[in-house]
Amino acid sequence: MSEAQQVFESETQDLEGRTLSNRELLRALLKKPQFVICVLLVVAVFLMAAFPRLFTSVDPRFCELGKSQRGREPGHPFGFDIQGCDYFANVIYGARPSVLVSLVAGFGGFAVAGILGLLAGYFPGAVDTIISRVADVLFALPGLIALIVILNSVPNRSIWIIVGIILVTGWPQGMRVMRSTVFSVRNREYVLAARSIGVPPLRILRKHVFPNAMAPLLAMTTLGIGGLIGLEAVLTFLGVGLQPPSISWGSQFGVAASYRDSPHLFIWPAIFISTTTISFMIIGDSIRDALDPKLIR
Amino acid sequence: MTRFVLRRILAAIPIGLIVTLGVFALVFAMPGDPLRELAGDKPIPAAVLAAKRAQFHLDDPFIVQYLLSMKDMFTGHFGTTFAGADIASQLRLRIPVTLKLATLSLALQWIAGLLFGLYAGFRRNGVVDRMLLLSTLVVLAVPGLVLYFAGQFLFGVQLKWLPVSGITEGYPLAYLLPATCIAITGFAGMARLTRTSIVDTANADFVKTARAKGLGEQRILWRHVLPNALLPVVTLMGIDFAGIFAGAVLAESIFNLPGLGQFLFQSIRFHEGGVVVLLSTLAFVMFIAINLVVDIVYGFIDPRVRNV
Repeated sequence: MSEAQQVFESETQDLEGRTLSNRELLRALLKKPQFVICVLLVVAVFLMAAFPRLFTSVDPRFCELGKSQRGREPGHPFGFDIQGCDYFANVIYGARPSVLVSLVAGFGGFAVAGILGLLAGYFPGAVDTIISRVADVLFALPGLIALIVILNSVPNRSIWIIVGIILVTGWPQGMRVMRSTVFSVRNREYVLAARSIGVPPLRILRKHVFPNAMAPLLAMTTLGIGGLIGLEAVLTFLGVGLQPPSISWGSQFGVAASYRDSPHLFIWPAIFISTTTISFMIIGDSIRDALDPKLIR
Repeated sequence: MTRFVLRRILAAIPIGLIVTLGVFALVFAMPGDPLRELAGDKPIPAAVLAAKRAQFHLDDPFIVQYLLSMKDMFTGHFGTTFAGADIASQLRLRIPVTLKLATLSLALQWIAGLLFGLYAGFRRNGVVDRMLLLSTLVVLAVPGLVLYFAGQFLFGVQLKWLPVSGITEGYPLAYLLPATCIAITGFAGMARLTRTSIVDTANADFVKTARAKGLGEQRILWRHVLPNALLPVVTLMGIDFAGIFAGAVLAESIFNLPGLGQFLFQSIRFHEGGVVVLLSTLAFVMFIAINLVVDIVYGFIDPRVRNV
């Protein structure tokens, strides 16, 4: 996680101080076919998570043990899992945790890192010191191990608890990016002008600093969403994530690990989760390219 | 320089304290009796209970409990697992496995990442550069879990080139597949960062100055571009090195290597809270120590950092 973020941080640090209106940004993005395709794929996965019945009428929990691990059959394109449940329905229903993680941890992470970064960058002194020191402590931990320790001590883990703990431990990197961009924006003429006519600090932050400082964090967040989906799967696979009977791609990997003779148990969730994460990555990549001042004509 | 090193060491101490206290608080100061979990559903005789309470210092105040268990940890009295295995001897068996896996995978990913990153950075927009950007985008996007399983399935189960799991085949052979899998995930970040850094540095003003005053290309490359371009790469190497245990948890659980990561995985499965805390505390302390070393090494390489 932190490795990939380090790379994204270095690749997104040139984006600061850009003012590109939302409409311009959208127009630049819609010109790219790979962006459009990936958005459509992500929308399809979101639909899968919200309305799984659109894609399958089979109940994922209706199982016939006699059909355990059987391959594809007419009406059951992905075959059956070890309990003899229809695997297609299970993979479709497994989209929900991944999508919730991508949405909540993605947007939530953006909000938490953005707000803390704004505060730390705009109010040097006590506020900055407190936020930065807490970030130092969280930064000094290997992310996965910290999540394992914390989640291991939580008895009943729902998707919200997992997302919440990812949010609580994961904000420092984004906060640092935001803080450094705010540093470069806070003494620009328009901010000084707003301050000189007595605009209250919160309004300056909201109207002037945030819109001009959010680009690097936005690019970093979209690039990192795929990693968050993978992280949820890893945590569930390791046994500190979602617990059975919840259906998720991560728990399907966990089962597939013990039944290596039926590869379809692994292949289908792998294809779905990889398509989702690659789509998010390409969307993030396109947004970063669209925001890169060196590429704007 | 000495002041710089001392300051870094002093800065690491409070972080280490906060982290170990936090881990300890999470597990031992949770509501409920830790011994209840140890016994499961069976009733515990009062004498056993009292003995266990004394053994784990449960009747002492929180801070005393913390200090005593830290003392146990640093003097090597790790105790036993619920199943009765001696944790210290487990660690002796498992640490070499993880070390071998870590060194092999780090060597692979650093060599490959640097070579490809440098080449792509110098031949920007060339064939290698484009291929690298595309392939690393995919590698960074595909979850590690999928990559490890796919590697195991393809090269172990289908092609039978390398052992599927376990370490019965001995050092290089049995570790090659898991190490390559870890290395591929790390390689992507390494190569991309090296490339970006080379490109940025090659366009910097001091390189233009060097060229303008007539220095040869070789001298510009070795004396001006590389030392500056490799600074962020060294930072990433440090992060990689310190975070290798997290990668090992996943690789060792999937490839069934009897290392520290697999120990952690099994301890979670069997609800061995104490072992999880011990291993993660070791991981945290190692992480902080490695970061400290990286910081100090970085101070030697980059004189600008020393004055901060």
